[in-house]
Amino acid sequence: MDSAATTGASVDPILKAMREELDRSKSKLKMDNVSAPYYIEYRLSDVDEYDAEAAFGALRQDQRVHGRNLRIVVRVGDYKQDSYYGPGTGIVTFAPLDNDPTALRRELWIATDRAYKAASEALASKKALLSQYTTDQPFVDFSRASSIESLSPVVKLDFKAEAWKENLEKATDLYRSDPKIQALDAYLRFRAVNEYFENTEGASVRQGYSVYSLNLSAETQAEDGMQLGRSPFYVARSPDELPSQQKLLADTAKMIRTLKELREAPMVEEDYRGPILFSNDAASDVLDGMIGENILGIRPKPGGSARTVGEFSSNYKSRVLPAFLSVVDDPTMKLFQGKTLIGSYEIDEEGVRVAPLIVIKDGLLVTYLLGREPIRDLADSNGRGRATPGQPPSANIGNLILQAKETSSPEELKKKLIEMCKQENKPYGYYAETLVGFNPRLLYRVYVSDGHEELVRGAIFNELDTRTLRNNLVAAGDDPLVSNREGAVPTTVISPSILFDELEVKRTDKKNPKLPEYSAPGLTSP
Amino acid sequence: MRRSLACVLACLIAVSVASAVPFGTFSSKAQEDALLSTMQRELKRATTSLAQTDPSPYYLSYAVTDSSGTAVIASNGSVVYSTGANRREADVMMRVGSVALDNTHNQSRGSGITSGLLPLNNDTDAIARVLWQLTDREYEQASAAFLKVKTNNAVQSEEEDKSPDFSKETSQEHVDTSHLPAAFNQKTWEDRTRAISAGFLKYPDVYESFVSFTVEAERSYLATSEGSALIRPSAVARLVIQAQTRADDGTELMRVESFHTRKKVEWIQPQRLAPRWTQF
Repeated sequence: MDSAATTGASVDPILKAMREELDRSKSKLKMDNVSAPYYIEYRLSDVDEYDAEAAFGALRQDQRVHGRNLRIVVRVGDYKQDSYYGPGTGIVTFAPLDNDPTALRRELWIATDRAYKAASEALASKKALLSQYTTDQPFVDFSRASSIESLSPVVKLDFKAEAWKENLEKATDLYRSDPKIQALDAYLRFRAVNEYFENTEGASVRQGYSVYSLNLSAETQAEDGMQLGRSPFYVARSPDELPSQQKLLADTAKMIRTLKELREAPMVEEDYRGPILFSNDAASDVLDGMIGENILGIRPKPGGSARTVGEFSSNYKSRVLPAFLSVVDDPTMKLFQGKTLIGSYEIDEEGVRVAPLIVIKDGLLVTYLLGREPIRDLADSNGRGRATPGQPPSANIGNLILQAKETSSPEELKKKLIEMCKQENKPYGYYAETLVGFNPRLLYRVYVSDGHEELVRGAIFNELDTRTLRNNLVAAGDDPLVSNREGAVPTTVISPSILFDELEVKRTDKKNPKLPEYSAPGLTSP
Repeated sequence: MRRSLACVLACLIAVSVASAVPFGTFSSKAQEDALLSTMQRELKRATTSLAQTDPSPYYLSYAVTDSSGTAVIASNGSVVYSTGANRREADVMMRVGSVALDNTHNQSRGSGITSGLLPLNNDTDAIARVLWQLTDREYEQASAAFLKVKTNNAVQSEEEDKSPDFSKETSQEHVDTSHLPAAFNQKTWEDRTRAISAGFLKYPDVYESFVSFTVEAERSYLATSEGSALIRPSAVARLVIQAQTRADDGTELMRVESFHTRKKVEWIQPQRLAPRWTQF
């Protein structure tokens, strides 16, 4: 129990109102012929959000919205089998923005009543569904958790809107520098989220986070009609960690230059199978999508026999990466090499305290990330039940880190790439600097003769999948990159560059659209 | 989200002005308005350029809605939602083919429009650039749809309904640049909506209630390839009060009252509405 938090419900008016109504519901909620709830939780999410967007040097959106929602879960039955299914997964409603305890308790009262009735119906439906299967579930429906109290400071947005609007307008005004730029947008979203959580097991938590994100996006077309785009993004815990106006303009100008280079770049050859080096930026996308998604202990639908819904469902205690690599999820880490990690948190949205966890040790998958919904062989939450405001919690990563026992500098990795190509008598290998999805966006040929790089376009990776990660990943860099990501919940992935000994590169068969039917309008000023 | 409340809130947040109301004097000086003149200039350029294509559009229009709105919702005497926003939405509408048969025929109706956001200020370069972008996208979808329509017509039996897909109209000009109501003070309307909602607190049998206030002021712009040029301002305010109770046998009972005004927004005052409570 946090010493600083022992008086949470007594000092915070929202927690106090939630606790009082929770106690009243616990003692009084009981319908005839329906068992009383064994568990009730209230989660109030306070979201203050500012959005702005500019295109072609002019602002198109500028809005700030402050809202609160309540999510109420009532569970009927017991920990072994309960009503958390379909309509029994919770009721969501608006919550008062004023800290008015009467209005809040009234919303809680009526929503709890609805959630209880929905839970009793859901339990009956779930029992009917499970009766179709002969074997019992090898896990309980809801894991137990010890009570926890924590009262963190309320998080507030802190930024100068006018300055940021000017940044967006100035950055996107650079479309004037290249007549072939067809679209240039900049979008920012600043959010402060404060969560208030109470449950009948004694949890009482107030915690918050802020996320400041800025996305650039530009599009152009090559002479043959191929659509080419770039979309760099910045995500940080505070506005001070976003690029300054000078840096933003420099990055936008660089993005426009790269698009010009892409327009003029040669098409990739029909087929290539050989060594490829991924930058730390490209590798972070691979780590996030191919490891991060598949280590989540998300249980399949009732009756399903798989352990989880991900690709690693049957890989428990098996090798999923080469032995020199491990993967750790450590939401307790706040900084890495001086950069703030937005995937940090102390307590998940189910009231469970988090601790660092080795998920893949020396290439072996040793556990999954879990919330309070157990899966086969893993009965307890490890504090990864994370939720976006108003949504049910689900297992998710916090700060996911790829660690290598042996590392090389980026220069050494490039030398290794060239050496491997030489051995295979290839005139060049490939270097993927950035990806879009799991395909290259900036892909360079690295020539064996003198090491020079040449940008190419129109490439896709064939068979970049979890099997390739396990069998073809041969080296990692000493250049870990912090990549903050604003998804459903804020996460961070940290990955060094990685080298594959074999991967297939193909030319895309996507049909190119026509060039614009008529030219862009002229400019009244340069 | 409660279904009843969610439906009403969604409608209110997306509320649009039902019909335009004339404000002030008529002006024929379309060229003096920066937005309309940019729309006309870009429309002319697009019409001329796309006339060379095959198939080519026979009709093109730009419609822009420049709106500012406020929405406040209160329940149990407390504000649960409050926002204000300005938006400029553009619809590029295109018809490829002929009045008798065009790209919007039958199931292809959606191919006649492409929408997007325009700059909030009168940066004419940026406005023209977004209109060009939307027009190019619209031509791509309209021309592809027209080819499909022609193919379908060729292989299918003759239709019973032989009415044309569009009608030709003479050009109209109506430019009303009169002022719209000044922006509403969010705080004032939060206080007012909260006070109206608090009226339900003295009725314990009303277990759920909400009061919503929305106001939207907008200026609609239209430029067409037929030569029409319109600017029409309008404003609307709407108050909706909803309350729910339950009979002894469990039947849910709901009452909704709504007030709608295009001029007398100030009429919406807590003290004026108090007598309604007893009636509710």
